[in-house]
Amino acid sequence: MRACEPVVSRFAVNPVDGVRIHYDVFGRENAERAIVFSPAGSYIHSRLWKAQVPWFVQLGYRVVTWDGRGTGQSERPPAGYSVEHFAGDLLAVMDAAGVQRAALVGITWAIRWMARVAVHHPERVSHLVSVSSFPTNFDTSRHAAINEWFLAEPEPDEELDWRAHSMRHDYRALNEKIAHDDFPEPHSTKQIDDFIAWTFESSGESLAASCMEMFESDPVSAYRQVSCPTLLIHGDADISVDPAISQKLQAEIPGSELLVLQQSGHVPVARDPVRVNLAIREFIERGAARPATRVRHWQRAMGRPRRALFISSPIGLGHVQRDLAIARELRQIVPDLQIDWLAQPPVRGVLERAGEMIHPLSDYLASESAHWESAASDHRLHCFNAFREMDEILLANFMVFLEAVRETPYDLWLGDEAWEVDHFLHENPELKTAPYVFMTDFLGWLPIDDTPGSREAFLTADYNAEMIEHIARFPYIRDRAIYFGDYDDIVPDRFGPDLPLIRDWAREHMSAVGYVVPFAPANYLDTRAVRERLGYDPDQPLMIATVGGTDVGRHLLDKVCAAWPLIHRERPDLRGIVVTGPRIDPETIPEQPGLTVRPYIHDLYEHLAVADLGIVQGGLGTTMELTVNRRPFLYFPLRDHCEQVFHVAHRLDHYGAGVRMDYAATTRESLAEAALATIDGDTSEYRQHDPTGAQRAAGLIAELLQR
Amino acid sequence: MRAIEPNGSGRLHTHGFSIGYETFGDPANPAVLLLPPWQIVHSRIWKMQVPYLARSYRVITFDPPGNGSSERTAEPAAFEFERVSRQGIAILDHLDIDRSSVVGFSRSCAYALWLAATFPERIEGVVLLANGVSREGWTRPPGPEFFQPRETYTGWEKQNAHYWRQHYDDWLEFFFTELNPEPHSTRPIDDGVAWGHETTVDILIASLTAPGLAPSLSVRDALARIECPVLIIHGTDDRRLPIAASYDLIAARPDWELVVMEGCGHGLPGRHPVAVNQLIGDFLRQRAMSDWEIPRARM
Repeated sequence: MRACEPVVSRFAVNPVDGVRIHYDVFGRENAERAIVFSPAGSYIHSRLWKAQVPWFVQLGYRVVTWDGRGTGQSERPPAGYSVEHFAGDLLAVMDAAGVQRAALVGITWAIRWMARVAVHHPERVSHLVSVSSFPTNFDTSRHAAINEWFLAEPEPDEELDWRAHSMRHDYRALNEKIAHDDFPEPHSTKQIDDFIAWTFESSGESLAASCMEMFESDPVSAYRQVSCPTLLIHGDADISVDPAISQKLQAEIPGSELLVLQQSGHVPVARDPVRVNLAIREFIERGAARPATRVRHWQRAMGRPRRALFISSPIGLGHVQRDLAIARELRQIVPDLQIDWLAQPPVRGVLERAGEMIHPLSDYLASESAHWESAASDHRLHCFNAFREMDEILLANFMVFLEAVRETPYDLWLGDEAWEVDHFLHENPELKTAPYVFMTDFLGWLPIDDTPGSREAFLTADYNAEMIEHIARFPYIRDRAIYFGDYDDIVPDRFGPDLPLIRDWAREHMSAVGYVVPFAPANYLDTRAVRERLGYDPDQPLMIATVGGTDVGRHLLDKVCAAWPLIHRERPDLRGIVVTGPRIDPETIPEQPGLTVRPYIHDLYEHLAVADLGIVQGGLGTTMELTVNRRPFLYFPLRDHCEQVFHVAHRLDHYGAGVRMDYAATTRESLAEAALATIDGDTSEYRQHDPTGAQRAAGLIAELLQR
Repeated sequence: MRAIEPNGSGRLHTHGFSIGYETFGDPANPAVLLLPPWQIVHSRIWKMQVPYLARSYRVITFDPPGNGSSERTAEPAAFEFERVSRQGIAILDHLDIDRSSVVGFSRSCAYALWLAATFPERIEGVVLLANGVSREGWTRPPGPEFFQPRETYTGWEKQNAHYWRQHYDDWLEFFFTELNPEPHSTRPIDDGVAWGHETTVDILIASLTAPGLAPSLSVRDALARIECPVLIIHGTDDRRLPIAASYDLIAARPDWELVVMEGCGHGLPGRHPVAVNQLIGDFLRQRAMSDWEIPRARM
């Protein structure tokens, strides 16, 4: 049975030679829009469009199909198969069907008569869509030779080919060959069987006749006069008609567009019908707006490489290092995985230096780092307020993400603290079109002002409650939810009054994979060797102070520099290094004996791994790098920064690592005192770190790609 | 910080008052004018739309007289309907923009419709968010109770000149909470309250009671005149301007499109930005002013 039966099935008569052309009409009579599908000349009749007709009827179109003269139910005159004849047939069908104006859709030769009708009767053609176009022989100098070849008697041992002799004498075998050429895609048996069956409703004689008469087609220049919107579709694996022809044709037809179907063959209307249907509809219904590029590509699903889009949060450089580690592990398991990164500075720069592929839409991401810097002052950053104030930036960046995933059919979306992706996907769950992995080392906003009933306590609980409700209502949005750490690294608090304990909730909703560091700690056990490799004196004690990639840490650096003379007086053997990061001008740090100021150190963790004392902010990345390598360190949580004040401090306590300092209460004297007391300190009691986090995360992610 | 900064801004003295405007996006792109609603807020209400639209369009915003970067005046003339609407056209003129789409929200839906009816050659398409215009009229002027002091004020009784003078903070809190009834709307509510503090009670009272708050053209005549495509987006839980008004417009103009946002309140641009952005973006892309549609006769 057909999916959709015609409402009218009749004959039109070509007024010039009286040949009867069979046509079918589908859909509502009073439809505002019409589409007429042309047959593949005298070779394949109207059933070719069986995958298109029902959908366009359902969309409300009046749909007309017709059989070319010489095939299907149309008459089979001995001659009269020129482009002019077919153009007349098309107009006769439109007249008989009562269609004044329509979008014309056709395949191969149909472009010849469709274009002619579009040029001479522009009021009757709203759009032109031509698939696998075979408009003319572009190289006119070869016309005579090709014609001669077509008509010549082949040598006895020559293969069957698209020639008059094969058509007349080996029609059946020729069709077998053509069908297989036309469908190079694997698993095309149904389409091939259909095709061969339909060819028996034509004949070698009419096919040869139409080939000869249609050989004399309009010159290329005629196509320049087409003035309606025109879409060309061509598979780049078409071995029957060279896809380059559509490129040339596109250059001729003003304003025309080309959709290249990668790894599709000659008959995508049958083999990739969904994409073709969507492309036709989008083109016809789009209105005046034009796409940014006139040539677009779509790749057959089975020909696609596995592709992931990785959204790496720009807050701090710690995330990008672990994201790179996870990407490395993921590629071990899924070697053909291609990863595009949606990332902004400073993360973007790290990725570029690592040779990773940056998605071009990254240029349009609104700056989150600049926002955080603007929200910070004097070692103070209210991270919840700053996050909340960032709503406009998060939304703007979500819209960029949406553009990226609509452009490219990724197999996987990975978001490391991609809060915008997570939040707005839950607010708009219908937009999820790929497996999605949410990853974080931070869970649960906590109020700095924890007075019961405080505005901040209310707001943080409200944000947490929204997240909890999101996940309860749409559990299918996050295909994996990965927590970087152990469950016991999570604070003992609740998400808010009457809300669950954060740790309990995490046990039910997240996979804890352990904390991920971008290196193997075993490589740094031999401190002397590493120091030598990094250009340090292996025997000289080393202090490194660093404040991350923003200028938020400026005030802490100033305190360290002020304390340095006191430290250096007691420990003149000590070498001090201050790393300013990209946002603090090293020229503004006064020179002092024994203290080196460096703007940037590549792979800073290697240097921290062999330091006898680290002085850092309370950020998780750096403190954990020190912890994992069992280094003594002082850390100064940013004031009002709930993650650093509560979450990181809790985790470090759980590891028994680091000496927590209160920035406000620290003077140069007390800083020097703490530094001298901590340097060379005993770190043997630090809890053991499980180094397999990246592997475990990658394993969980890879399950989404391979089953 | 903002997600994007304007690439042009200024103050234009036009129709008697000084109006602040901003532009975003490539000037070569088609223009879209985002109209300011009631003086209780200003052009930052479009903060969730501007970065997205500016990727493909030239976006123009301006502040209403009495708030934002426009003149702080309580002079009644400043709030006249036609004056405010024409200020939008004056900004387009100033920027050398011949044709533009317009987006109205709440009170400015009326401006958008009036502009489309009055300047058909300038307006390519109209999007209305949380529209209050119906065939019954352009606006709903406050009744006499607005000026009558009460013993107590509950619910919308707080829309009262006396209450505003005594409890402006509470009025703002109430107003924007009503506008955003969806759970977890603290952020848009706080934004609204903050913008409400950038104007004054005198200005708000004048903006509701000045003469000339409706144009001379009737809504029915305007509806008959408008030729450009119109998209209306309205929430079913709109407690400021019920959705009935938008159903009425659609009944009068069945060729217009209405998107019913189920369970959504009045504050659509701030509370449902992804859906609103996509609807506006798709509408602007698909609007049917195509010269492709007019066949060019040739022989």
